[in-house]
Amino acid sequence: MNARVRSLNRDSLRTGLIGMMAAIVTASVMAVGAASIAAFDRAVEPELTNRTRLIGSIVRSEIQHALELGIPFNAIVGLDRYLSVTIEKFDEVDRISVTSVSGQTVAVVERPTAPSIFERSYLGEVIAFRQTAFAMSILNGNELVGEITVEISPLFVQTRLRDVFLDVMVIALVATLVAMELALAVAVTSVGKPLDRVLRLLGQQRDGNFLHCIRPGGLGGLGRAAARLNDHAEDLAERLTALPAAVRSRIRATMDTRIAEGRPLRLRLSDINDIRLALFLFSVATEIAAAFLPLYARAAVRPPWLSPELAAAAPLVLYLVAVAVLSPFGGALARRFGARRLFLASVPPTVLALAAMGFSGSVVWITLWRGVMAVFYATATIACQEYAIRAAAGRGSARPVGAFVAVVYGGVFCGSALGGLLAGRFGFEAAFVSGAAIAVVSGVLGLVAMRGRAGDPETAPTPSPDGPAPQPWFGARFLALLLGIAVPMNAATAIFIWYLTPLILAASGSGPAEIARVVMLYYLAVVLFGSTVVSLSDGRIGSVPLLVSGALASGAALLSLTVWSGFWAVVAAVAGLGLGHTLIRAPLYALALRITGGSGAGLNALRLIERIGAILGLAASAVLLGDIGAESSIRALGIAVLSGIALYAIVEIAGRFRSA
Amino acid sequence: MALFWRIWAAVMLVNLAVLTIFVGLATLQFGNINSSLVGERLLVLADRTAAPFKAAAKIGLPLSTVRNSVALLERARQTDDAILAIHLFDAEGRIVHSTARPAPTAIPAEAFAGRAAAGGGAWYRETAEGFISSIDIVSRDSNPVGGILIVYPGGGNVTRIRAMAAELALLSIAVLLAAAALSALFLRLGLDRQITMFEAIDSAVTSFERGAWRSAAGRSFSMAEGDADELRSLLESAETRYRAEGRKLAATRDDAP
Repeated sequence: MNARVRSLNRDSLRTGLIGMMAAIVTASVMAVGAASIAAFDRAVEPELTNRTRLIGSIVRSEIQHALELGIPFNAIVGLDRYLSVTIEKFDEVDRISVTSVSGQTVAVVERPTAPSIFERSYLGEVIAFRQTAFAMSILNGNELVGEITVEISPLFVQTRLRDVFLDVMVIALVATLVAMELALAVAVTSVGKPLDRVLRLLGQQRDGNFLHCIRPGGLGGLGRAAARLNDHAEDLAERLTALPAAVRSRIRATMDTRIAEGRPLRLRLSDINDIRLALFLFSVATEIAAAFLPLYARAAVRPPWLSPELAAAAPLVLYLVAVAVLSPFGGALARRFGARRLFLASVPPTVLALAAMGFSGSVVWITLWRGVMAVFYATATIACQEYAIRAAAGRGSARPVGAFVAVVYGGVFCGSALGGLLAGRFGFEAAFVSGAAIAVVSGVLGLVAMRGRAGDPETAPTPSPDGPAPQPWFGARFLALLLGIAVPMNAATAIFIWYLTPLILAASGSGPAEIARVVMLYYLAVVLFGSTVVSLSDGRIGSVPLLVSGALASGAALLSLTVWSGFWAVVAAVAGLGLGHTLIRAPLYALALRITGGSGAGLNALRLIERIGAILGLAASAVLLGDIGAESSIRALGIAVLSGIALYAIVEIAGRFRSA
Repeated sequence: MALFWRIWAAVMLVNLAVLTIFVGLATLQFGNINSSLVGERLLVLADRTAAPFKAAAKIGLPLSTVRNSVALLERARQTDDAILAIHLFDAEGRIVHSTARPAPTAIPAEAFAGRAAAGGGAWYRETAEGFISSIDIVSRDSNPVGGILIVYPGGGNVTRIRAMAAELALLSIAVLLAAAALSALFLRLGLDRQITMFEAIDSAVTSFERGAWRSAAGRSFSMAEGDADELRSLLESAETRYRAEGRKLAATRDDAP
């Protein structure tokens, strides 16, 4: 049936439109981003110069003060030592020299530094800083006696400007991610769905089903076709209803056509993309505090028995526990009340919790409200996941979970970047209130977009229409998948990404902004490569090879740190782990759905075990780090990941032998 | 062409929304960077201004007894004409000496909060009025005996941020205009096949409608050749089914008692 038209709708137009739109918007953002870097560079240079000039003027005033006391210029005791103390205090100063008016050097100190690999890189050269030395005259009364020269380290300035460059790149990425979501929403709403609806109703009416109508609208001919088909159903329904009841019953018994009694029902098609924008904004809202929550909690009023470190960690711990507790029930709630209703019901408490966190003064209240938010975060995200899985009609495809994971991680990325910016500029309260406002918008979008039948309460279980017969969720293959793949993956995320990476980078001198950027690389991998992995998983390669490759890549990324260390080693390991986990996540859910036949208990078990893996990971790293150290922890983690994949491979191969 | 213009308008709207978000976020970021640079400069000044008072505190002298205190503060203030005031305060936050005339009696509430959060270290904070930066002065037994507080106006910072916002907005408008022209070209070339196919759908619907009203006047449907002829065939099947069912209902109504 009209295969070419369907092919135009499903693949060609939507993909082409999204691709073109994303390319145009991304190119625009990159163009403004590149120009912004130059504008920032120009704008910050005077202030950087002011600081260095201030250092020079302070040193000069000290020397002039000594001269005023009558000490000869070339006999100031301890000038070298004073200059050494000054240079130690200010990282940006490379060299300070004091010369007499005749050019004779009175005192000179300089910092012996060697540029790092990054500092010698091309990026440092791209961002130019025009002035690196300042000379100031030294006066003794009305007489010019010498000159002081302060030389700024060009590497220090380049590092500052490199930070500016990377900050702008992060903002450009945030804008691009928003653009992708908007492009997808526009493509689906304006072209994809109207054509889908017309084709579906046409098919029904051709087969004698006049029970439904569709939402009117659509471009040109599509809009007219929708109006005509709706009128078919409404006209027949009106004429049938006008007949006496006895005649109506007789007709119904003899006709092979189905006609609505009363108004025809509106056809509600579900699409995975229905959840995207609402979930994306919800995720942005709930992660708005990700960048600063530990700082916020640590600075809040706390009970005397609670240390600042525990106060900083308390909201995260309660968050993980609350999400883990809710995970087994989220799926059942979504099926019982409907994904749409559950999502919409989760938004108001989330808004309240976000606003309340912003106005909480004590760590107890912050933690409590974070826990409340975690509960409704779990219900809202599980509702969206259930909607996506049902919209994909339980085909065991990786696409719904792939889309879900990419959207959530995109939201995490944007939320943490946005929260950091808002908190830095307007304060923590403003960031939380903005998060609450974004959550409201996500609720409105969910109300409008999640109208498909996938959002309704489930009346009966929907078994997979094709594929092998489902196994019980506690079967050996499924348990091996949980214990061999899911637990090590989530433990590795918690231990390495959330816990060890910040510690290792902080110990090697990285600041919070740099640490945040490195951690973002992990999430960026899912956003960038998620859809490709879904295509590969649903295509010829399949889920199992991707799972195995992902686990091997994760193990290798972790173990690489036992042979290589330093900033770039951590960056490579984080990116490698992100890529490895991207290869695992969507295929893991697709395989779990296929093994359990879409069983709710199986999915609940997977969600629960993921959270337990994260909690166990965090607890283990907190307990063991002091005893065995970071390197040994990472080595043990890498070995655990590889052992997990070996366990799964053995069970999978044994299962295949048995079935053969 | 309806689809083309719809897509072009959508692309422009999305581009406008995204560039607005970008300009907003980049301006916020610039504000943060600028504040940190001003704050760091004030920290240097606070540290250097506190040096002679630290020396006095180390040997146990009260801060109020340091000779030429006001001159020391004034010398620091003269390093930047924009500085509003530099205060020397005691452990309770009472101002001992100041460059301001008249001097306030105590440091502001934000300064108390800043001191508590910094735990004795140097700090700066941006307030509604501007910047404040401070460093504590500690005695020989490491107890804070007071500190230096610098008050700096925020006006210059706000002006720089607004200038940056204006520059970025102008850049964005230029890029948006360029993108409007270029995207028209790229969309026409890049989506040519899709637009042609969509036009075929449109013409299939039009052709079906023409066939429908002509058939009502006695002419038979003529099948069209084209990309979307299957769609037209589907439309005709649905129409035929509708007419047949409608006729049945009409006949039933006429036969009804």
